[in-house]
Amino acid sequence: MHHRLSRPAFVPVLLALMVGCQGRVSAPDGAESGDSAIAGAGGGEPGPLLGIPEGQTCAANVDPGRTVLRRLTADEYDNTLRDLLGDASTPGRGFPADDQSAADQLILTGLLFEKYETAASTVVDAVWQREMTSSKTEPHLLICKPSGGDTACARRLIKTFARKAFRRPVDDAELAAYYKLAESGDIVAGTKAAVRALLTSPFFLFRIEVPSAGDASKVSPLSPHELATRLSYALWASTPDARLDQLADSGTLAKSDVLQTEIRRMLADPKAEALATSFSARWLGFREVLSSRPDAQMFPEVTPALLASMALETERFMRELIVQDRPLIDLLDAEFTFADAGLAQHYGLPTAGLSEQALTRVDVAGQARRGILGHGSFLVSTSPPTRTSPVKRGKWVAGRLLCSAPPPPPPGEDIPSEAATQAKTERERLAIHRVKPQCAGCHELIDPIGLGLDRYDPVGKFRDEVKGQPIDDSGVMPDGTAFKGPNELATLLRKDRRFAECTAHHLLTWTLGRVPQGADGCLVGEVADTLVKPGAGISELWSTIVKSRAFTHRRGDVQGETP
Amino acid sequence: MNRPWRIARRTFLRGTAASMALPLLDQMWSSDREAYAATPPLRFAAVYVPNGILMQRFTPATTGSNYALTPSLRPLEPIKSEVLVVSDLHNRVAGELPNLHLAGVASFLTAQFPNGRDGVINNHTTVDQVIAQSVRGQTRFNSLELAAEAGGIEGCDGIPCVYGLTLAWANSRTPLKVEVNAQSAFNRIFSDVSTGPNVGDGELEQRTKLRTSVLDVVRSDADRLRARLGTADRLKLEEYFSSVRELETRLMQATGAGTGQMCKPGAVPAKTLDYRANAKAMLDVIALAFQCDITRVVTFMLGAWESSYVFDFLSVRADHHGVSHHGGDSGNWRDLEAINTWEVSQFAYLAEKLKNMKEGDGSVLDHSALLFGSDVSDGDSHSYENMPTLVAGRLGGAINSGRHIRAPEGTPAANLLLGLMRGYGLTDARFGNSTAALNLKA
Repeated sequence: MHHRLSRPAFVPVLLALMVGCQGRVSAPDGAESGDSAIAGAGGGEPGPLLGIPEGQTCAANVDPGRTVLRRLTADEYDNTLRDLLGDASTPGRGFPADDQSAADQLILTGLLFEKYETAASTVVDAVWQREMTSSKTEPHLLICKPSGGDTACARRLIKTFARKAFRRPVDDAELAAYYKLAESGDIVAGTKAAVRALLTSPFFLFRIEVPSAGDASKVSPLSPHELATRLSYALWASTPDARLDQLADSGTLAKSDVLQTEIRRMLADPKAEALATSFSARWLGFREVLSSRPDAQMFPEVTPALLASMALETERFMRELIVQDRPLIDLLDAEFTFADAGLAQHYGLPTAGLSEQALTRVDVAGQARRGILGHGSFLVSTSPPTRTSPVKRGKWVAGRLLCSAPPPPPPGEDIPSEAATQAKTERERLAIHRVKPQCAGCHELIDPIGLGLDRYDPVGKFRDEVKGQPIDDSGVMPDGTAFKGPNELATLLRKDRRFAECTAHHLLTWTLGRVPQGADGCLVGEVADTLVKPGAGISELWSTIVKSRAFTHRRGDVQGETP
Repeated sequence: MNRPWRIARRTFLRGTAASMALPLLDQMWSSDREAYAATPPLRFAAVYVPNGILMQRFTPATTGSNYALTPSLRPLEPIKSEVLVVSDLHNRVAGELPNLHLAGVASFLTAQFPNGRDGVINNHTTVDQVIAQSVRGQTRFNSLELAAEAGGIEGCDGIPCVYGLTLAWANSRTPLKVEVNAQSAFNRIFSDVSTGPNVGDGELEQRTKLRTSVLDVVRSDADRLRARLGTADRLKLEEYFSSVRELETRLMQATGAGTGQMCKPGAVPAKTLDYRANAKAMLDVIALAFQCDITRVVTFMLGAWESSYVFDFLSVRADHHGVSHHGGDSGNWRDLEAINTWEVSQFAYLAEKLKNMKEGDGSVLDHSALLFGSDVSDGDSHSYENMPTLVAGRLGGAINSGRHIRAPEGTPAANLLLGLMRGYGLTDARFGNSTAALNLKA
């Protein structure tokens, strides 16, 4: 990582903070070094690359960048155990949360390591017992049953499982210590310990991409098994399956048409729902609504079950976009959503034929509620318990969808309370505080967005008035474009280049395990171009990413480079 | 390692196996009483509360020992003589980051600017870890990092959210992850202590031996891997090596020395989704861990950074962070006072619990310092002036408690941290931006 801003250098940024967000409006030139992107970020943020010209392609020799050893996230760990051992216990849910998907920020500490150690023990015991007592299904682990002096079985079992756990071919020499452990005493206890060790080894817990011998700083293609691993964790957040293993073993995976076929196959596999449950969950934060606590007196109808339906609505919605190979940009204004009877009633949608328990696809064509901006997961999680916060909603859209979140207010500045301003509406209150120049710069970017959504109440229902005052949901974007209400706002966002670039930024961070920097600008641009290309579905988006040099190649360490 | 006031683990286990643990322990205790009293271990705990404190209802009006407790400090009544209230410390170093709460959490125990721009993880070693490292190897856990509420991992304004997820940094790039579930914390800490009736000596030893062998195998994998890696990857792999070492050390201790002789872990706390119950169970775990001398150092986040928890059990309807931006509103002040009073009551609960744990000639609290603080003082303006600060315990005589003191104008909070370090026998010339060690006896 780059720690570019020394303390004195930070002073100009502070000044920028004082005067507001002017630095944000004009997008930095991402084609240059990362420095300009950071300076443009205004608040010293990691500077998403924004403002990349359309229609440019990456040079054949572009720097593919490098990602450090990438520890499995909790989701990846659970999915991997599921696919390796048929284990559905999801121990990762009890792990300390990871706050990033960038590899250098996936820290491993003693506490987490202990969780791995404990989980390995529990999971191995469980699968052992399951497969010893039942032989109905193909065994995940017990391809034979070790007993007595039969060390051949133990070795075969360990080697077969090691091949899967390490996601690459293994040989007897490197497994010698595992064999020894298995044979050190009771063969069953020893073999179980050896399998536990495989699940605690760095070769399992980290996704490892080792530079080939020679000049470690030079660019080289990933090995076939490293490529299979990248692909598999990108689309499934899990370990490669038998077919990917096979393609890697035969060395054919890297061929363009093979990759294309695999992308389609993988996206059609139920495991691709990880793009909804993991990637989208992080990007759109739709599970945050589960900890929202709308005021019980004002909104007695909002139960934990309803909040859970809201989170599930967005998850199922994203899954549908993937399964149907829809353009990802449709998340802004798709004319369908998912609801159960309770959620549909809450939203004021027809409830006929809807289940009380399960969410099903619901048509919202012609309705005012379309796309993610009408989802309760977003509307409720950005609302305080008793009122809406146009500022929070605006910041959510600007931050998550446009990668242009303004910095928080400087110390000592805050929005005056309603009582202090005697404002009749939220719109008036925000207008009063925007008179201050130190507030206006940033709030002109986010307040109009949030006010345009203010017909959704704090729990995501439609309303026409607040405290007897009619709601004005018109607004003017910073570039002067006027709009009215959520649907026109969605249309504006659709045309906003920042949305396409920001989505590319999220996808690439997830896929590459590092925040796109300098040389990645061209790829951000290519992915953004694909995103807005008419008719281009999600598979085409992945095709752009997977065939990029940043995905298929790796640079080694540059001398003196530190993470 | 060789503390005369400990009993061998195996002796302890046989005792429990024979169902006569408690009388036996008491016997052993009295035989070593003198030796033990001579060297009681010193403990440190930091208790963090989020979103600042309404200082108008917190800071006592007068100084000295006869000060009147303010509304938010009223829960200290039973232990007023054990608490030092320190006013007028600032922590201005925290500023200059886009998210002032995160900056405040990250610098609470460093008293230094937390870096953190450009998504970089690069903070400083925290005071708890400085203390823990000075007694490394003397207890099963070098330190414990606990929280009663899971921290937000989104909306961190470009700073790694991890800056707000823990109070403890082992070094500049290692934020120590927190356990947020009291039941898991209990099981982790006491799993080798509370031996069930079915686990005999031999079985536990066999299990421990296998676990150690597993660690040997995976470390040799890591050694082989390391040889093939470049600089950046090696730094990352170092996290793996140190995690393995940490567990290995503990396993070795588990078969050797026993746990603290007065240790009675008792029942596992019930798994709960209730915040209050989880918080209380965490405080019980901390007290027990100190009493059993399983660790000497704990950091505890009573609430998550920028917590939006709704204190409905205090009849507060708005969320904590929202209320903390009080805008001078009297309703918000009332709510904040209720929240702050509850937070102080939790701190008081821990202190009182330690006070009731006899140790040597006094109590565990007499040999501890419990620090109470937040990331900012006033949550509305995100001020780093006059940081809310309480210290409970006498730290083996290093603290003259039962008073309210005001630090001279311009005193950094670092001076308090350095003053506390002195109590642990640390002679570092400086800590963070300290100008001198605050004298806690005068």
